Amino acid sequence: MTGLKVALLEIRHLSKRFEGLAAISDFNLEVNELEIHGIIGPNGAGKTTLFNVISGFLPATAGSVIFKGEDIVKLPVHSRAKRGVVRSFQLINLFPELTVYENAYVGHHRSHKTGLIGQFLHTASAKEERKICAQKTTELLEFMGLSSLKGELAKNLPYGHQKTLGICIALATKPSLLMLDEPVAGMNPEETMNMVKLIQKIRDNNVTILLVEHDMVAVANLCERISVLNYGEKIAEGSMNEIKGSEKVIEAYLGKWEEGSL
Amino acid sequence: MSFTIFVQLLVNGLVMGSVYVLVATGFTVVYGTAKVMNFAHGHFYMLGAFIYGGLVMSGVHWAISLVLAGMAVGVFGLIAWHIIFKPLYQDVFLTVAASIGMGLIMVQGIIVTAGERDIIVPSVFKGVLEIGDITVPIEKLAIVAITFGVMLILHFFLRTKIGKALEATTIDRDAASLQGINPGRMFGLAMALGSVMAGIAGAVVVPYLTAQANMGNTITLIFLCIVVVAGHGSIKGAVIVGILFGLIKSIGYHFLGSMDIILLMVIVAILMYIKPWGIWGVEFKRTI
Amino acid sequence: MRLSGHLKIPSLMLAGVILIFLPFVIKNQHLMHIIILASLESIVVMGFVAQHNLKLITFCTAAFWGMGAYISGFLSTKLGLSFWSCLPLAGIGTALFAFILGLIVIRSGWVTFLMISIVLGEVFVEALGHMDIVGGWDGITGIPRPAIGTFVFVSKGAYYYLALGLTSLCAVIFAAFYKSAIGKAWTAINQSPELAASVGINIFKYRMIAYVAAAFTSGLSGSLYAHYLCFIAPHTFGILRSLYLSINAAVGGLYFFISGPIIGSIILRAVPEYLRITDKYEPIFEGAVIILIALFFRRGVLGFFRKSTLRGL
Repeated sequence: MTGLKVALLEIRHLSKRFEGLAAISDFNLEVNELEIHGIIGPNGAGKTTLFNVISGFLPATAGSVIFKGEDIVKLPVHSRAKRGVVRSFQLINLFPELTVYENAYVGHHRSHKTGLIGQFLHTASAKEERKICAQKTTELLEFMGLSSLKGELAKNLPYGHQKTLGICIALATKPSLLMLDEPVAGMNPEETMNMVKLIQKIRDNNVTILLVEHDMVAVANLCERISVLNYGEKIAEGSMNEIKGSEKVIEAYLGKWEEGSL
Repeated sequence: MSFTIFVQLLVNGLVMGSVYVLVATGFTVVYGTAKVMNFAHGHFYMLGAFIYGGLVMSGVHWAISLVLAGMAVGVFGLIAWHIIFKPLYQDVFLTVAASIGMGLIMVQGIIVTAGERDIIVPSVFKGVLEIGDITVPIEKLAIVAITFGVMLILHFFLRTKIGKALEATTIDRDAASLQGINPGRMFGLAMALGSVMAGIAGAVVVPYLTAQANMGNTITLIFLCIVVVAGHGSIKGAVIVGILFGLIKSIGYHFLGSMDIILLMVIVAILMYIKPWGIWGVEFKRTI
Repeated sequence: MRLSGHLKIPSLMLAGVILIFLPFVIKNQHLMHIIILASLESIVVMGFVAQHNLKLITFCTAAFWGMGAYISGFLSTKLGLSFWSCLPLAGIGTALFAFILGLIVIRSGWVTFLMISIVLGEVFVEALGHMDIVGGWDGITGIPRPAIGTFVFVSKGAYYYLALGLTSLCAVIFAAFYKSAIGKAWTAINQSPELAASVGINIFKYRMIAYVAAAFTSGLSGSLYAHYLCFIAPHTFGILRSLYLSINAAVGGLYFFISGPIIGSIILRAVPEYLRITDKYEPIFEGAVIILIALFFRRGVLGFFRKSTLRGL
C-alpha cells in the first residue's frame, strides 16, 4: 500500500542575495523522511550558502523553509535546532578545550526539560536528567566509535576524528533532519568509506540526512536522490544515474573544468 | 525663537558637529581596520589640543602648529600601536584595559607637566561674517572649514594606492595579506591616521573651547555614542551622526543647559532600540 | 599542581575553619578593613568574570555596584528601612534594571555592548551627581549600620562575618550556576557560539542570565558596602573603578570563576598598601601597572599554578 510520502523538509522559492549578487535563486526542494539527499555542484555553486540559509546562519532574502509543516525561515539558529534541524560544519567547529565526552554531552542540551530554576537549584529532576544525558552520551560515543577517545581534548584530535566528533555533536541533539556539510572532505578512500557506513548507520537510526559533498564516490554510495546546484540555481535532480546523464550537469562541471576552476 | 538665534544655534551645532566628526571618524578608521578600540582616543584629542596650545603660545604660526600637533599625535599613536596595541589587539578586554591605562598616564602626565590650569589661546581669526542681521564669527567657520578640508584629504587618501590597501585590509585582512599587503603595517597606519584626526580636532578646538586636561572624557562619551548609533565601522555614518549630534547638543544646551547630555542619551537609547546594529551598521557575520 | 580529588573536601574544610577564626587571629584593624573590602569587591568581580566568559565585556561593573549601594543607602536613610530589607531590594532593583537594559543591548553584539557599558558608566556617575535627592556630588551620608535586635554591627570583626557570609552566598550562587546545565551552556558559548547555537542553545537567553545574575550579586555587595562605610558618593562608582575591578579579575586569572576574583581582589587591595606613591604620580603608576598586567601577566596568578581548562572554580 502506498500513501503520499510526507516531505519532511520543503523548500520553496528560496533565494539569497548579497548586495545584488544572487547566491541562490528560486531554489525548490523536497526531502522525504529517512531519505539521504545529496546536494552537489561545482565550486562556488552556492552549496554552503544554501546550508547556511536553511539552518539559519544566514537570513534568506525570500522564500520559505517548511519543516514538518512549519515555516522556519524566520527563526533563529537555535530555534531551528530545537525543532530538529541540525547541521554539522564544513570547517572544523568544535569546543576545543573540552574533551570528546564533554563535546558530545553538550549536544544533549536540547533534551533538557527541567526549567532554568530547576537547574539552578539542582532539583532531583535536574540531577536525574544529567544522569540520563551522561548515559546517552556514553551510548552515542559508542555508536560513533569514539569511546576510546573520550578523555581527549577536542583540539588535539586528528582531523578525521574531529570531523566525526562534529557529526557526533550534531547527532546528540537527536535531530530529525541532519545536515552534513562535506562530511568526507579531506579524507582518504578508506576513511571515506568508514564515514559512508557511519552515515548509513545514522540514517538507519531514524534520521533524515541532507548532505553537501564533492566526493562523488561518497555521494554515489549514499544518496538516493541528488540535487545539482550551479550558480545558485537547481539544474537537475534525481538519482545518480539520472543526473549523470543530464546535459546541463555535464556542461556545468565541464565548463568549470575548462575554465580551470573545478 | 528668533531667526538670528536659530542660525546661531545651527552654526554652533555645525561647529561642534565638525569636531565630533573628526574624532568619531578617527576612531572609526582605527576600529574598522584593526578592530582596536582605543579608549584613550579622547585623550589623543586632548593631547592635540595641548600641543597646539603650547606651540601657539610659543609663537609658532597657527597653521604650522595645527599641522605639527596633528602629526605629533599621529606619531604618538603609531608608537602606542607598536608598544601596546600590536601585542594585545586580539584580546578585546586587554586592549581596552590597556588603552584606559594609557589614558590615565596621558591625563596625569599632562597635569604634571603642564599644570592644572587650562591653556587659553587668543583667537586666530578675528572678525565676523555678516549676512543680513546675522553675525557669525569667522573663527567658528574656520573650524568647519578645517574639518571639511581634513575629511576631503581623507577621502582622496583612500583613493591612493596606500589608501586602497588600507580599505582592503578593513574588508578582509586575510585576502589583503594574500595580495602582499602587510596587515600589521596597515593597522599601524590606521592607528596613526585616526590619531592624527583626533589631534587635529583637539587643536582646532583650542581657540574656541580652551585646552583642559579633562576634555578627553566628555568627547569620549559623545564619540562612543556616535559610533554606536551610526554603526561602528561606518565613516559615512560617523559624519552624518556626528553633525546630527552637534546640532542636538547645541539646541539641547540652549533649552536645557547642562542637561543636554540627558537629551542626547535619550535619543541614543531610542535610536539604539530601533537599530541595534547602528543605522549603517553591518549585522555581524552570522546571526549569532 | 592540581588539587587531587580526595584532598578537596578536607582542604575546603580547612579553609572554612581558617576563615571562621580569622578575626580572632588578626588584630590589625586596617588589615581587616582591607579583607572586608576585598571580599565585597570579589563578588562584583565574580560577576565580571561570568560575563566576560560569554564575551560580554563590560566596563560598568562599578555602576551596578553603585546602584545597589545607592538603592540601599536611599531606602535606609530616606525611608528608614533596615539593612536586612534594603539588602534584597538592592539586589532585586539592580537585577531588574539590568534585565531591562540587557533586553536592549545584549542582542546588539559585543562591540555595542561594550561601548554602551562605558557610556552607562559615565552617565551613571553624572546622573547621580545631579540628583539632589541622593545628595548630588556629596553623596549619602549617615547610612545606618546593620543591627539584629539590640546588637549593632560596628566592629571590623562583626562586619567581617557579614562580608564572609555574603561572599560565600554569592560564591554558592555562581557555583550553582556553573555546575548546572546553565554553566555547561555558558562554557559551550564561550568555546564556540556558532556550535552552541547549532545544538539549540539560545545564546541571548544564557547571556541574559549571566548579566542579570552578575547585576543581582553586585547589587547585594553594593548594599553591604554602603552600610559598611556608611557613606557613598558618585565618584566611587565610575568607569575607572570598573576598570580596576576588572583588573582584579585579570590578576586572579580570567578563567577561574570564583577563586580568581577572590585572589585577585585580595592581591590588588593589599599590594598598593605597601607601595606608597605620592598622589600626583599615582594615576601614572596605576596606568603603568594596568598596561604591564595586560602585556605580561594576563593569565593571572592562578594561571601560573593551574593550566585553566575552564573547569577552574
